[in-house]
Amino acid sequence: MKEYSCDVAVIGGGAAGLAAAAAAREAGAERVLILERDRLLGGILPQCIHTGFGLVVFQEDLTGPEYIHRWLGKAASLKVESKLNTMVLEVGPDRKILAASADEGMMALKAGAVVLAMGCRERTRGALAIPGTRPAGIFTAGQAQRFVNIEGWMPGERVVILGSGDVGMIMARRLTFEGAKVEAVVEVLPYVGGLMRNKVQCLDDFGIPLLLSHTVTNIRGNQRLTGVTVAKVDADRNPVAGTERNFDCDTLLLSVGLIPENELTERCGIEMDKVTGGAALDEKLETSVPGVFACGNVAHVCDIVDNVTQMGLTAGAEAAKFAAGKGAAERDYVKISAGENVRYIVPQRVSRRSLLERNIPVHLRVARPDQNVRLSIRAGNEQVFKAPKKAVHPGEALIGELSPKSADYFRNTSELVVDVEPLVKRK
Amino acid sequence: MGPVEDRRVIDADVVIAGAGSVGSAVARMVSRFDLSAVLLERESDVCSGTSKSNNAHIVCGADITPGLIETGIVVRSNGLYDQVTEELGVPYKRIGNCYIALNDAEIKRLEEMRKIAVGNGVTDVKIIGREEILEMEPHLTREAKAALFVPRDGIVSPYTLAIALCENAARNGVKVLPNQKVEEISVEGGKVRKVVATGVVVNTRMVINCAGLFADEVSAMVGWNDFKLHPRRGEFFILDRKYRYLANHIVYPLPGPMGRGSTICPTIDDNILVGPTAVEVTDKFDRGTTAEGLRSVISNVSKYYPEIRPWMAVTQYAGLRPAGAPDFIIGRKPGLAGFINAAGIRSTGISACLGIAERVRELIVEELKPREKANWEPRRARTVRFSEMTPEERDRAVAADRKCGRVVCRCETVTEAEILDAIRRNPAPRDLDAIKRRTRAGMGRCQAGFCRPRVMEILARETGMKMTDITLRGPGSEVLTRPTKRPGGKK
Repeated sequence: MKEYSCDVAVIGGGAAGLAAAAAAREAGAERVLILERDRLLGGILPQCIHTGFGLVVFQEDLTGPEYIHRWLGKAASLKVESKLNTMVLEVGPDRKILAASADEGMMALKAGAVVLAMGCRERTRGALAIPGTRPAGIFTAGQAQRFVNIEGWMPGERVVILGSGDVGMIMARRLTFEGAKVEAVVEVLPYVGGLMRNKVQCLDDFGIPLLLSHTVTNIRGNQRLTGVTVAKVDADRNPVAGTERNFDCDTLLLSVGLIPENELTERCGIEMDKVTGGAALDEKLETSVPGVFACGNVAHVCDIVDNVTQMGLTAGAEAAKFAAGKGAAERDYVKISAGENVRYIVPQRVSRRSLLERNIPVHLRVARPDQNVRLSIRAGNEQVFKAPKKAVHPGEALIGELSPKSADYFRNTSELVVDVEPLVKRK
Repeated sequence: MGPVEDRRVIDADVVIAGAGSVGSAVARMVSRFDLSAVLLERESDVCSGTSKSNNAHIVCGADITPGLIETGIVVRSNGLYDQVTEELGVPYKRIGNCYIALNDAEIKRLEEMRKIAVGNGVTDVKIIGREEILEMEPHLTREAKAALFVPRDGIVSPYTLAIALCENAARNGVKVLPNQKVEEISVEGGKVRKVVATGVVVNTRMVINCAGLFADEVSAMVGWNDFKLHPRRGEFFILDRKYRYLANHIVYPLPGPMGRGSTICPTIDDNILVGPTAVEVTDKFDRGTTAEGLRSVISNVSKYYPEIRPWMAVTQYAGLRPAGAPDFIIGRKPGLAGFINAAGIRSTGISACLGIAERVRELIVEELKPREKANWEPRRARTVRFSEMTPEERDRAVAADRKCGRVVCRCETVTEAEILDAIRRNPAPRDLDAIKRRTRAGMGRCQAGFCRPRVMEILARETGMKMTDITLRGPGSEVLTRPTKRPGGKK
């Protein structure tokens, strides 16, 4: 077994991992090593050939391959090392990593700090328990995207898409360009799941029907898919009898959610947040295991790659500090909790010292869409902060900062609760 | 398929119709003798019907109605299981089975069940109290009052077993032919002469009918039509491995009029199976799950395991088991030479298959008086999975072949070497489900989301198949439709 050591080990070479590795080098880490299980670095971005990447980070509208190309260049110029075709099998709480590689066999790696950047995977039909047969022609949207954009093959010709996640809507347009007929995008919720710009540019512009409050209730065909049944759902998301209609189609794409890929994290014994599906983090993006950090979609599923990159930059810089022995051990944390109409908030805890010293970026996702609301932060019964918001939507995370301006409130509280409430009380 | 005259003609002493568990076990048994044999399977791979879609519970015979042919054969089969699975390198564990009593009336029934088990020759069953069962099964409902424990019941992967039986049969000379549905059996002068299938005609002396759900139709081809089979649908959930902790043993409610009821059953690969339902249906091809069925699985099992939730699943499936026959139908028809039925095999098919093959052996020996081969090879080389290797074994494997370190299926940690090994075996898997059943590539929590393109690429590279010809499970289930548009309209 080959044995290595490095200052910062980054697990996963996608957008989060590349940013973390680059930031770790810039923060002074000598040896930074990315472990990537695929044949290439870049994660999912090479297959995202549409635009919309980099608006925040580069103030430019780039395609996925262009965006990741810049980060690959940056990582290379900073002499970030990487091992491809390398599957991490274990991350120990002592920051020892066990991996298998086609080139080197088994390897053990001792890292000064570890950054988890494994990204996410797509939710499948099984997690939704959609009844019916199990024919060919059912794809997750990302898998179909890979077939079309990387491998050059069409997954089908007449398509129904379940779920209005971003990848699903983008694939509706992409398959239309390639000559397929997209019959409908079906969304169980009463509102669109992904970004509004994708609904407009990918569905509306191409006349693709979006059926809100509908779901697929049956799948037909023993060999290749021959059709699906779609029905309206009630407020509890149960299909309403008598509203069924059949779509003849040979393809069903599923764009029904992304799940942070945290099997390594869980096996390492790291404390998890059940709602995000990622590790519970502090403001340095450090997990409950000292020296192990997490960023990007493995921590919580981000809407846009720019947010992933920014998390990566934070985690990489902090990991470098930790590896250099400058990561002060924190004991005094303030818990950040999701209150009214807040599904989750990252980080889940912040050290009191940081709260008193500097602005702390937070990502917040609401549970349901609303308009004319107030975002507020409470410490016990005291209101620490409030700001009006015209509209909030679960598909678009709110990104803000906790500011030391409210230091007086932070000194004694053990918890901050974030609420998103209507400005005017409704009946 | 074209006219019968155009089909390939082959000769074989014995034709086995159906490569489920029973047909596979019979094929291996036949391969012991100096008989040429052909195993015909209508689907694109062996073990594609009832035998793959069940709860993989190997019963030792404790709960079967006394006096049936089935009972004796299940008990006999169970005695063979340890040796045969060892010879074939098929993982098999006797993890034990518990029937749970929730109230006083059910506690009384446990004693009756215990007596039946002992009468069937399963003497090591015992009734255990509340404390003991809750210690054995900490996630079981606190309502559990007592249980009947059957220590010799076990688990196996039914398709791993059937595939291993077929590989070993093929190694010993049996021709395994998938995509061959038996269409016609010719009888002349009271003797079976010929079998016509989708693409072959086999001149033969004997047909052994192991056609499972379709055994009534095959039997009727020789005029033996006094039984009718219909499907009984069972729907299942397979839970993510991370919920393996929920159960240590196979756990059942007390059996009802429709059979054993919905159960929780750990699998040999460390998933948890939940189900099945039991609904009488008519269509032998309708393998779809239903909203009601899936709901009832969860509501039935959560009476016993309150923590079970539908979203714990990686997938769901439905299996169709043959119903309609009151007992196994194993034997010959008076006045007809060369035809043996192994039909009416119900939900105990996997448990009974080795015993059925032994019973069929007696019938073949009686009729054909074959000689045993001197060089019969009982053993099959098993693929060692990367996921089961120690770090040192992994190191050695990768040093010998880099493909042993190239992980293709991330969720189940399946390497390219394992996929190549499967593709190169006989019978050779040529579709994605067949590769999945041999390697587990695509069986994990992402359900082939990541590995499918890679597995297709390997299969195309190894066999010269076109990407657009690769199927999920045989003709008509092609995965891709055409190339995308190419610059300048080039193909």
